[in-house]
Formats: sequence, structure tokens, C-alpha cells
Amino acid sequence: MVHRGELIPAYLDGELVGEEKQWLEEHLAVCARCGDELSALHEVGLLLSEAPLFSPQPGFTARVMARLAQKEARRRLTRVAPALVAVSLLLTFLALLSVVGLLTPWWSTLAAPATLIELGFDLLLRFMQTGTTLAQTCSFLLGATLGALPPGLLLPYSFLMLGLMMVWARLVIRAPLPQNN
Amino acid sequence: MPFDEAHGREGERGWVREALAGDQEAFARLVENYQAAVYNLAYRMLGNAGDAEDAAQETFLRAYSRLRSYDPARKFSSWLLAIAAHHCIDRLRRRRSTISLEDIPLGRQFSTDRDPEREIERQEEREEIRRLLERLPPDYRLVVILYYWNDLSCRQIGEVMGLGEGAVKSRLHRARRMLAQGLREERESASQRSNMAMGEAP
Repeated sequence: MVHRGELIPAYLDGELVGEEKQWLEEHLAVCARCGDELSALHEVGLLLSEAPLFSPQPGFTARVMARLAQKEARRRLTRVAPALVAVSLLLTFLALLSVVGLLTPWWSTLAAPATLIELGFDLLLRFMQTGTTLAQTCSFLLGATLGALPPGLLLPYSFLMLGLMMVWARLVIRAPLPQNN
Repeated sequence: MPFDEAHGREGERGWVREALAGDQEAFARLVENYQAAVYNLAYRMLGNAGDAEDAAQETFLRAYSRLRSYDPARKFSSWLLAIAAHHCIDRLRRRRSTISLEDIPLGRQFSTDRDPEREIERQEEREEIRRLLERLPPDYRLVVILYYWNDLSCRQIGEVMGLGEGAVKSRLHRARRMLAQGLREERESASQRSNMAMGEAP
């Protein structure tokens, strides 16, 4: 059985009809507790329906639009970030090439092409050579760095590098994660 | 600029379309129109002006980035209020683990009322409503706010919250009974305080 008090909100909304309504009204006439509840509910309804709608401080729209513009600018930066990374990698790569002295043979191949097939073959060969030399250089540099470090410093050093990379990533790629609702 | 019913849903749909096409002006108009509805919801949910401002701004930013997912067959306000409601409930969930609502001072509310006595009275009433709402669990609070301040029907509230009309109705009834209970307790402790004050007086 439903407790009669539970019907009071529906009664206040005028949702009770016929028998149920009569049943509750009879009960309200004799039960002081439910009578109290009815008046308290009535009061709550009044309090809430008279409460004003709070408005934000003036200039709200401008503040939202300013934040929006900021976000958009950051989004645009995020979009060009991969290109920036690619360009900087390419520049480093070229710098490395010129340091190792590998750029010259490339130029000479391109400057005096024989036949097209020969050129392609030559380029492929050069490419493989360059790759091998670069890999050797990298491994040499890495080995030299790691060898020069005392073994105790190896771990802190890697952490430092990792930390720097994370800071860099945080600064450049500040993309807000897509939020699903 | 108050919401113009005649301009109504057609204008609103136009604004959404224009905003989607990249027209910031159109989106600004949407913000202007719905700022009070969203801000009030955030204020009543979160209980202070600072959080309300931030949550309301965040709601519009999210709405902007999700504008593509808005279905024009739905009411724009329901869609927007759903975003606001989810965001506020999220915030409350995160907040619960850090600070309680009582520790946050009530933000000063902008008021045009010049009469200081009336202003104090209003302030007290505001505080009372805030304390009462605070007694409710967040989803009950949300139902009450949408019903009383956003003037949504139980069916519309159901749309916002992803609930059936019956579930909303029963929540609303239960929430109101909890509020009534709270009001009685407030009144009792207030009268006790005043009794004690009178007892202490020589």
C-alpha cells in the first residue's frame, strides 16, 4: 500500500482525482503530520517558484567569445604543430647530412644526370649509402655519449631526456582531448 | 536581449546553422540568449558564483565544439541544458573528493536592489534555498532546477537527463518532500536559536 503522505506532491500539482483525492483529503483532515507536510511542501513550492533566475555578471558573452577565440587559436597551432615538427626534423636531418659530408655526392649526381634509369639507380644507391652512414653515425654518437657517461648517471640522464621531451610535447601539442558526452 | 519567442525556433535554427558555417556572431547570439538559463542552472547546482561562471563558460565552449552533433529536430535549449547538467554533475563528483560545499564562500551576486534591508532579506532567502538544494543528491537537484527555473515539463526534463517521464516525476516528488523536510528542520533550528537568544537576554 502506498503511504498517503507520498501522494501529497501529486495532490499539490492537481494530479490526484476521484477516490485517491478523496482518500487523501480525508486523511489530511485528521493527520496533523501530513497536514504539516502539505504546508511545508506548499511553502517549498512558493519559495522556489518565486526565486529569481540568476544572471551572470555583464559581459558574459564577450568572455565566452574571448575564450573561444583563444581555444580556436590553440587548435590552429595544434594543426600546424605536426608540420613544424616535420620541418624541424628535416632541417636537423639536413644539418646532420652536411656535417657528415654526405650532401656533396647527392648534388653531383643530380647535377650531371646520364639516363633516367641510371639516375634512378644511382639515387637509390646513394640513398642506401646515406642511410647506412647515418645509422653508423647515430650509433657512434650514441655509443660515445653512453660510453662517456659513468654508468651511475645513465638512468638520471635518460629521465632528464624523457622529461625534456615531455615538456616540449606539452608546450607544442596542447590539444584538448576530444570529449564524448 | 531577451529570448524572442516570435523569432523562436526558426531563428534559433538559423543561428545554429550560421554558427556551424563558422559565423561567430551567430554563436554569440545563442550565448546571449541562453546565458541566464545556463548560468542559473550552474549556480543552483554548484552553489557559488565563481564556479557557476566557469561552468557556464565551459558549457558554451563545449556546445560550440559539439555543434555538429546537435540534432535540429530537438530543442536547442534541451540540448544545451543537457551539456550544462552533465558538466555540473561531473564537477560535483570531482569536488566531492576534494572539498565540501560548505567550505566555498557564497559568491556575491549582482543585484539592482538599492534597499539594504530588502537586500539582506533576499540574501537570507538565497542562502536558505542554497542550503536546501544542497541537501539533495545532484540528480534530484537537477530535476528541481530544471522544473522550477528552466520551466521544463517532466517530459522535457526526461529528454535532458535521459530518463522517462515517470522517473522524472517520482524524482521531483521525492525531491520536494526532501526539501519540505529540510525546510521544517531549518525553521525548527531557527526558532530554537531565537528561543535560546531570548533565554539568554536578561
